[in-house]
Formats: sequence, structure tokens, C-alpha cells
Amino acid sequence: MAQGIKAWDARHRWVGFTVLLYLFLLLPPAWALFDAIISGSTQHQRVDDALSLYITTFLHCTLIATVATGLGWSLALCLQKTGNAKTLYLFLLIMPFFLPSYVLGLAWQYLFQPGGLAQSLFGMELSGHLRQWRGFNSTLAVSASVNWLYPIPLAGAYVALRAWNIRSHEAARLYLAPRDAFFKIHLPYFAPFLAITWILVFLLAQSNFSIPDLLQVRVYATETFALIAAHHDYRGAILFSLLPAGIAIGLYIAGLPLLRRSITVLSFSTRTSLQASPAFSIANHSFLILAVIVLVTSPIGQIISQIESWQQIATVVTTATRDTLNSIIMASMVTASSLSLGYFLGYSYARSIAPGGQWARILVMLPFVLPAALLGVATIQSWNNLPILNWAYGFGLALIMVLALRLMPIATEVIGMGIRQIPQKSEEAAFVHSHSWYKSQTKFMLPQLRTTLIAAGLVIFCLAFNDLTTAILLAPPGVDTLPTRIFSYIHYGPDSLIAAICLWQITVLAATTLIGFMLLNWAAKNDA
Amino acid sequence: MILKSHLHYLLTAVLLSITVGCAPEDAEVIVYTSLDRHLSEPVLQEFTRTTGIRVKPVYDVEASKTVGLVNRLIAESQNPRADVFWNSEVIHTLRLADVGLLSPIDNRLGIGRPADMVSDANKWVGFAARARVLIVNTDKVAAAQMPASLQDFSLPKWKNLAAFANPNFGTTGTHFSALYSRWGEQRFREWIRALKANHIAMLPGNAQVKNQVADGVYVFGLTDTDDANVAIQRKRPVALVFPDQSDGLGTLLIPNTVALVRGGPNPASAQRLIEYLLSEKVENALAAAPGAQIPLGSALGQPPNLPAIDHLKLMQVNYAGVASNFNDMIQAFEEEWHGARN
Repeated sequence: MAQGIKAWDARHRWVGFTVLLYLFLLLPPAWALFDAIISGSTQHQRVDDALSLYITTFLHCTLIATVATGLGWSLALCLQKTGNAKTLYLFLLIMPFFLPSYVLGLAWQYLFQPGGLAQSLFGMELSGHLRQWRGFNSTLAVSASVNWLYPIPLAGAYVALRAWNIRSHEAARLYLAPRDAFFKIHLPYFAPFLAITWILVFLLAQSNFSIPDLLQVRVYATETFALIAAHHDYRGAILFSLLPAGIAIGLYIAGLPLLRRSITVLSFSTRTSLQASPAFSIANHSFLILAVIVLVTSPIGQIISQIESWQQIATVVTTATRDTLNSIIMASMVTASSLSLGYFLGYSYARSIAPGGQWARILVMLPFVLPAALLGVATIQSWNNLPILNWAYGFGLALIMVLALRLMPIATEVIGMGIRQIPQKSEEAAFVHSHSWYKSQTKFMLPQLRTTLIAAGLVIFCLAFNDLTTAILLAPPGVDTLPTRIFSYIHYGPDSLIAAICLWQITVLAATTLIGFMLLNWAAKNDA
Repeated sequence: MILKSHLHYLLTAVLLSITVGCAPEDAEVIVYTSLDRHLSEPVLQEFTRTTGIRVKPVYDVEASKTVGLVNRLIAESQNPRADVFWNSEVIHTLRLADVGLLSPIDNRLGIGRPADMVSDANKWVGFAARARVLIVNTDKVAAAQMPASLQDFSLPKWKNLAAFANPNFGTTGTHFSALYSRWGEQRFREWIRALKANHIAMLPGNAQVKNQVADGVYVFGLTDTDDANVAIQRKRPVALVFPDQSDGLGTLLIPNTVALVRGGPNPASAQRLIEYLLSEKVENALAAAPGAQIPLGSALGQPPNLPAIDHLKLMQVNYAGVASNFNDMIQAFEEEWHGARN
């Protein structure tokens, strides 16, 4: 009996070891940030209009989050009634999130340039007037950001609708007036999903630098960057980041109860089918096709149209093969690290054994809400200067570890939600059967979490693959990634060359997403 | 079981191989360069072919506008990783020199160069410069009507039709800081106010200024010779105008700078690379490349499409003063442009 309890308590050891490892990775850069605040000096009083910048940023991100959430949910609702074409639509509509945000920013910029699609549609004069409109750049930045981020609410809504019990819907329609059914049945079920996806989109919009920078929109991310880049005012940048980071953490704390209420679909085998009339079906397909054209085909098509010859693509593939491999290896290692550490941390959330309780979750969230440049510089200062860690810095391990730290909240939250869906009693039964907590996880829990792990892994892989700022600061000399190669062309490189290498990146990421989808389908079939 | 019993040997072997792999070799040199990769990479590859010294470069990217490299150099200062800093401009090199991150280089390397292209303490040497120019769309404006001065940005006839790059970064920052130094704060502020009143556009970088003028979105803009030359080589409808040649300040020259990082791991190889970068061969190669960098050594060739440097009226500036005025310039610019003071 005592031995059984001891074996069951092994989970505390695994979690404890993971937390120690996490702190070992986090504390050196955290100390460097703290030290910069305490001992550094603010060299430049540039952000004296900070309040108006915070307000602008807040409004900018709120607009992006609201429009993206509305769009994502509308598309998800339409997807429910598309029969066999559902997977194809989903694959196409999810694609933009897996593209680097700067590629979408460039694509939207190209759309309105002379010769762009907008000029063909609206004519030269109207297009010219639009470009000179004062709010043009902000509108373009919001549009490009929505285009990049709407797949998050789309995926959230898709998952929620898959798990929605059709009988609840039918019962609601039978016994309640539409208004009551909406407020008493539908909204309480879907609200947590709506809120979580809104918060996630808001956080990503707030930390995104490349779209506002490309389109010259002045927001928190660009100003933080300017403080570091133009003024080397590292302390000022940290202080300037505290309020947005605090807002992000506040939103996360507000979202925690919703995370507990929401559910994750462990399997895609649950089928929801709402019957639709033929007329509705045509309208539905038309809306989805229009969305695919506007949100996927147009931006990617605009990039393809910039390419002068197919020979250019062959040249780009040859020169960027090594960088592509570097990016794939780096992103794979980041994904493996995030998922491994994230599993134990997510487990500790789900089973309420996290040391420090909710504080541990907030601590894990911190690297995600801080600007990448701040964390990157802090990592150099700490890892490079500590004798026990500087070999790892020179080796490129710092890049992998920092990205893993930044993206870990995705792993911990998704896995945590997945584990919460598996009753603890079932896990205990598996433990009794195997006499080992470790085996109960590998033989019982992990197979049930396949879908969750693949989905989280796919998102982490693509975000790590597309990372630019951390790679600029932490990649070892002589090592390049595909995004750094692209950005090294952005100055002199003709648009056609930039478009060719962007198309290569899109192809690599589309292939990755396709593999991810195939794995998800495989997992779904096994679950079924 | 066998694996478990031999695990510590395996770990020792891995750690040893990592240690050996990371040991510094003097037959290599680590260079941080902010000059565009497609210009700097061939030069570095040729250096390796000539000397057998392996170069490990870290390139900067347009988005980071030197932030990556300079911040990295500052953050690494306690345990430097780089040997050489090859900067495509001068202000950030001066900043690194100010915080003591650079070592003096052989003073013979500055011989034959203009006096203002060598730092007083031999902390850096300038070579292969760019000039600040107006790029004008030739489809939109006839040769006789072309703007010829920075003051033209404020003329009503160019309202909504001209652009410049964000002065927080890159050579526009250096240029605006030079104007601030020469004009003084009051006149600089008036000029910015006039630009704003005339609805002149601010774009992310010089490349975007070049592209949008070439596309006809704007009639003219302020950029560098390298960007303008690329557009001309691509047969875009643009011409290049050196501003204020008759009665103004003249055009500003912004050199590449090379410096030795203090405490870098391969000082001997670093010295050889610096000598190589300052050679006639490299300056001529950079002049002939699409960037058309203007050589600063004596008796060197001129890039095509550009007039000889002797025929240009150059803005007389003290780069150290330009660097020290940078923050004040930005403060003034932000207040006038974004109306922070209003």
C-alpha cells in the first residue's frame, strides 16, 4: 500500500523536476531584466506620450481581436454545414495563421500598390485616394493582422462546435423561444470559447511588431523596439513594457476561470451535423469560397504575382536550403522541448498539484507577454556571462531554450485542458493496473492526448519556424534561419526575389500544416 | 541495461565534443556586419578564399536596422563573441566606441583617407560611403522641374507627393541628426513642422521610399545612393539628385565603418580581416556592386551612375557631434511630428 502511494507520488517528483528545470532556464534572463531596472538608467525620455500610445495600442488590438473573433466564428459556423468539403475548407482557412505575419503584411501592402489587385478592382484614382487617406495605414495594419489571426477563433469555434451536443441545440429549439435559447443555452456554452480566443488574439496582436512596422503604425510594439533599436534604452523599454505586460497578465487571469469551464475535444470523431436547406447550402459555400479568395488566395496570389520567373524560385530554393533545414531543426527542437516540459506543467495545472498554484501559471505566462527583443537581450546578458551556461549560448542552445520558454504557455494551457478532460479516476485505474505513474502516463494518458499534442505541436512549430527577433539576437555566428534570410533581402532585394523566398516559406509551412492535418486525421481515426 | 551502465561515458564524450567544438580557433574570425548580406557575403567569401581564414558572419536584417548587432555587442560585452564590427553607417560605431567596446586598430590603416573618416583614437575607420540623395520619378516630373534641395519638401506643389524614411533608424537618423547639428534645434523643428504641414509621408525605411517613388506613389523622396542606384540599374523611371549643391549644405556622406571589438576571441584574424576590408580591392568591389558604394581611399575608381566625389558639394559634419545630438534630434522630431508636446 505504502509502496503504491510512493509510486503515485512520483508525479510530484516529475512535476518538481520540471519546475526546477523551468526555473533554471527562466531565472537568469529574469534576473538580467530585474538588474537592468534596478541598476540601469533611462537614457532617453522618448515616450512622454506613453498614455496616448497605450490607448492607441489598446484600441488597435481590441479592434483586431473583435473583428478576428467575429470573422472566425462566422466561418466556423458555416464550416459545420459543408459536408465532405469541410476538411479542405478548414485547411485553407487555417493556413494564414501558419504564415509569418510579415508575409501577410507585405501581401496586403502589395495589394494596394500600383499594379496590385486593389488598383485593378477600384481603378487607379480610387486606389490612389485610398492610399492618401490618413487612416489608410492603420486600416491596412488591422486588416493584415485580422487576416493573420482570425484562424485562432476559427479553430476555437470549430472545436467548440464539434463538442457541442446536437441534442442540446434541438432541445433548446423545441422548448425555448429563440431569444431564451440563445441566452440560456447557447451563450453560456460558447462564451468561454469566445472569450479565450478573443484574449489570445488580443495578446498576439499586442506583441506583433512586423505588421505595424511595415505599415508605419505607431503602437506599443514598435515603440518598444525603437527604444531598444534607436536609443539602446533597455531599461526604458522594460519599464515601457510593464503596463502592456500587466494588462496581458490581467486578461490571462480573467480568462483562467473560463479555461476551467471550457472543454477540449480529445477526439475529432464526434460528429455534429445540422441539416441545411439547398438554398442555405449554396449561400454557405459562396461565403466560404469568398473568404478563401479574400483571406487566402488574394494575399498569396499577390505574392506569387510579384515573382518574375520560376527560375527565381529554383535559385531561392538552392540558396536557402541550408537555412530552411536550420529552421526546421530549430523549430522541431523547440516543439519537443515545449511539449515535454509543457506536459508536466499542464498536468500539474489540471490535477491541481502545481507548486505555487496559480502563481506558477502566471510565471509561465511571463515570457510570452514580454517583447521578444527584451527577453533576447536579457538571455545574452545572462547566459553569455555565466560560465556554466556560456557554452550553450555559443552553441545556439539559448535560442532554442528561449523560444521554448516563450511558446510554452501554448503547450501548458492546451495540454492542461486536454488532461482535465480525462477523469482522474481513469488515470488512477491505469496507475493501479501498471503500478507506475510514468507508465500510466505513457500507456494511458498520452494515447488519449494525441490530438491535443499534435495540435499544440503544430502551432508551436510554426511560430518557432517564423520567429525573427529571437533568431537575430541569439543565433550563433554562421547560422541563419529562413526568416533571417528573407529579412536580409528586404532592403535591396527586388520585390520579385522577396516574393520568391516568401513563396518558398509558404510552401514549407503549407507542407508542415498538411502533415499536421494528416496526423490529426490519423489520431481521429485511432480515437474512433 | 548496457546503455544505462555506459551513460556517464556517453555524457562525458558529448560534453567533451561540445567543449572541443566550442574552443576558439585562430583560423577563424567572427564578424558582425550590418551591410546588406548580398553585398557583404561575397566580400567575406573572397577573404576566406584569399587567406584561408574561415569567417563566421552574423548579418543584420532590414527590420532590425542594426538593433540586433549593436544590442548584441553591448549585451555580450562581458564575454565578447565578435572580433570585428563592420557597420554600414557610423553613428552606432561611435556609440560602441563611447561605451568602451572597441579596441584601437593599426593607425597605418587610416592613411590616405579623408581626416573625418578616421576616428581620433583609431577606434574605427570609414570606407565605402553612401551619399544622401533625392530620388525622383522621371515619369511624374520633368528634368527642369525636379526638386534640388531639402527645402523643396515644404513647397506647396509637392504637398502629399514626397516621402522620407523613419529617422529613428538607419541613415535617415544620421542625416536628420547632421541637419540638427548644422541648423540648430529651432530651424530643424521648423523644417519638420513644414514637412508635416505639407503632408510629406514617413515610410519604414529607405528601400520603401525608393520603391514607392519608383512605383509612382510619390514623386520624390529622400534616400541613399545605393537604393537609388539599384532602382536605376533595374531601369525604373527614376533619377538621382544630390541635394543642395548650389547654395545649401551639400549632400551628406555616410561611410561604412570597421572596428575591432575589444576582447574578441580571434584578434590576429580580426586584424587581417580589417586590413582586407580597407583594401582597394574591397572598396572597388563595393563600388562595382549594385550598392555603388563610393570609395574613400586615395586613387580609387568611381561607381558607375554616380559623379566623382570631388565634383560634389559635401555637407561638412563632425560625426561625433552628430552621434551625440541623435537623442535630442529624435526628441525634437517626435514632438513636432507626432505632436507629443501639443
